[in-house]
Amino acid sequence: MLHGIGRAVILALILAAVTAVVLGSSTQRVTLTYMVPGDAARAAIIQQNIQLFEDENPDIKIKAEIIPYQSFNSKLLAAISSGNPPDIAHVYPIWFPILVAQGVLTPLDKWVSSWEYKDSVFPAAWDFVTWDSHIYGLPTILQIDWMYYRADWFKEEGISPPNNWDEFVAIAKHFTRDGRWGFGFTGATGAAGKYAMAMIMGGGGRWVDEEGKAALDTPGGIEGFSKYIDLFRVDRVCPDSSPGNGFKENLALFAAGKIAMFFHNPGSLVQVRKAAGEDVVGTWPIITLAGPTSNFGVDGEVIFKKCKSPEQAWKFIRFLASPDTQKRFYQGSGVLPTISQVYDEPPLTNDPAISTVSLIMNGFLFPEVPLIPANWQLLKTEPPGIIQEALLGKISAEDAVKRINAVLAKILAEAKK
Amino acid sequence: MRAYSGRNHRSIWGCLIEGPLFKYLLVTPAILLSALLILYPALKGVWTSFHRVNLAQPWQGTPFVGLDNYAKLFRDPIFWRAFGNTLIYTFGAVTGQFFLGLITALLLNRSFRGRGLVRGLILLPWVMPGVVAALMWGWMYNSDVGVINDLLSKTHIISHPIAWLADPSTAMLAVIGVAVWKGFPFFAVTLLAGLQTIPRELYEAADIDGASYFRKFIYITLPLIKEVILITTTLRFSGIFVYADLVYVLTEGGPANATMTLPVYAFLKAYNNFDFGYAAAISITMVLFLFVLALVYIRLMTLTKSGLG
Repeated sequence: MLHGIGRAVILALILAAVTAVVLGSSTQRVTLTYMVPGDAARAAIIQQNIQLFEDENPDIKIKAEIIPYQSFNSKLLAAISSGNPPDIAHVYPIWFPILVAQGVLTPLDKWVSSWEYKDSVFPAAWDFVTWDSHIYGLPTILQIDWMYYRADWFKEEGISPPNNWDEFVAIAKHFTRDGRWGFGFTGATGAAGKYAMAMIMGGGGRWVDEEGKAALDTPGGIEGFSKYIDLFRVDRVCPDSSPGNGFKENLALFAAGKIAMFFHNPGSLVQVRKAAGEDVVGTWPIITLAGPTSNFGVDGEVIFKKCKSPEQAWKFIRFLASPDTQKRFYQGSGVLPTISQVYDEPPLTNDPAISTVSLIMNGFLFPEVPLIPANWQLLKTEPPGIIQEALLGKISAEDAVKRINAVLAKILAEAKK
Repeated sequence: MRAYSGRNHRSIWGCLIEGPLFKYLLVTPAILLSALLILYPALKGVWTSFHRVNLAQPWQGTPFVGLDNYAKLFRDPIFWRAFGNTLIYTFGAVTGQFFLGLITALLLNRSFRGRGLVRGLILLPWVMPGVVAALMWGWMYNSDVGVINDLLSKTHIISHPIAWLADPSTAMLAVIGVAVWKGFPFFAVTLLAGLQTIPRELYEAADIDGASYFRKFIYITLPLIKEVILITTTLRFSGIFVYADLVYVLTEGGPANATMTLPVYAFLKAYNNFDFGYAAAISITMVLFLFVLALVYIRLMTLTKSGLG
């Protein structure tokens, strides 16, 4: 019996020693949780980048949670509110002011100051991630909007893309025939508000006036919006389903040869080319009363204060913001880099769509949201219903802009003072 | 002095097992689980409805606001629109599901070749996830590339494509149509079960008396499945009333709130606007309405039973 107990004790000691070695070696490897939005295509690029990073940094493991776009904001916010944020997250422009106001982000100043690409990032991009003179995020995606058009139809008819509003409407009317529509209006989803905002801003509306009050409902802003919804109501160059159409509906119509033009952003370039065909897809700035117009913002990577390994976290987000990673993202999805030198190198120099970016950047730009800590999510959720009512003639364009302006005023009134 | 009985030497555990508290001990795990999964979230929802809770405005904290959320709800025209839409959607869906389910049950109650296969196939809409059904029907309803308009145009039933989900005059009907398709198998299966409990001799006797099919249906079939009808319609009413998936995926409550229902409105307020306080107030109001409905159901059941007795 003693012999048996002796064997058992030795076995237990060996097992304990092996476990300690295994555990000991695994604790040297840091695991970081990373929350990022993405669909199936984007997920593949994200996983590829993570694998490359882990190969270069065997002491760091990235546990990525890739969440569908529509539910990303609510999942991230719920994780933060429950006191369980990830170590690192990819953040949309409107969330920077909110997260900074919550005090959950780690300032990145000490690392960014010695980052080799700091001066290569577009200066305006730093505005979105800098609060109270501290940098809270590393910009990785340039957010602008643009228009897709059927390059094959334009080429067939010898038409050039529009340079002003009148040309845009004329082209839309020209292509509205034989079961086709000139323009795919986005009447649903949060993007409906973004394009309406471009039209309002292009007409002369502004986020705030000199006194800091909501100023979308200027006569010019109302005119810009009115002309925009008249594309559906009066000019009849948009499909009847427009009030309910978002990106996926417009993409289906574009690929099926039912619409000549629709608005979206560079992040869908690869997807649109795949659906419609490379030679079919042309890109051009969104044209408003001010000519080429776009909202402007940046997505960025942030480190949460609860992260126990901020040095390793910085290594990862620095990798995500590096020129090579940004090129890979561009090739895989079309999202635009934030580092200017990347635009002067292949593959971007070989892509004709990139010339559209310079037209946009030289046109009229407005920030995606005012740079104030406030609940900007309401700007995505409230306008679509108002726009639909205007499209269907239930309210006038003026009433619609005034109501959107009232939403903006409410957001400003409840902003963090 | 008490006589020695031997029971004074039992353990506490023995006392519990043999004592009057044993039955409570047995149900304690179920009560704890119910409290954790049902009672706590419900009470938390009530608490939230009396506070301002907006996750996107953390600088405001979560102050107690009393009945402010409910006052806001009663002043909110979209809430009332959603309430009316919810009743229309629910009544429309339940009525459609019931009649289609009844017709299907009556057909499946007859003998024919392949009946077993058909009985299995009719369950397909029921077992399909709501999101999948909504996505599928959303594309079918598309005015430009959808198969419904294509078929209606080719058969000359319509001359111009209908924007089913983008036109306020057709959107609710289109959404109810999907709900009817999705839910009729429930009625078909439960009513079929009810039909099969009706003694065949009653129909044979009616045949001898020369009763028509219609009279047999009215005087034999319907009375004997009345309880099944009452239970299934009430259960489905409360189920559809709180069901958000179909409407959310098809229209998100649009166009211009034409199909906005209370569960979708509560969902959008919570997960789009992050206004959990207001969303909780909407949800609690729905619960109270369904509670009143449940009381009516119980009363009807009592009347029905006393009627049958």
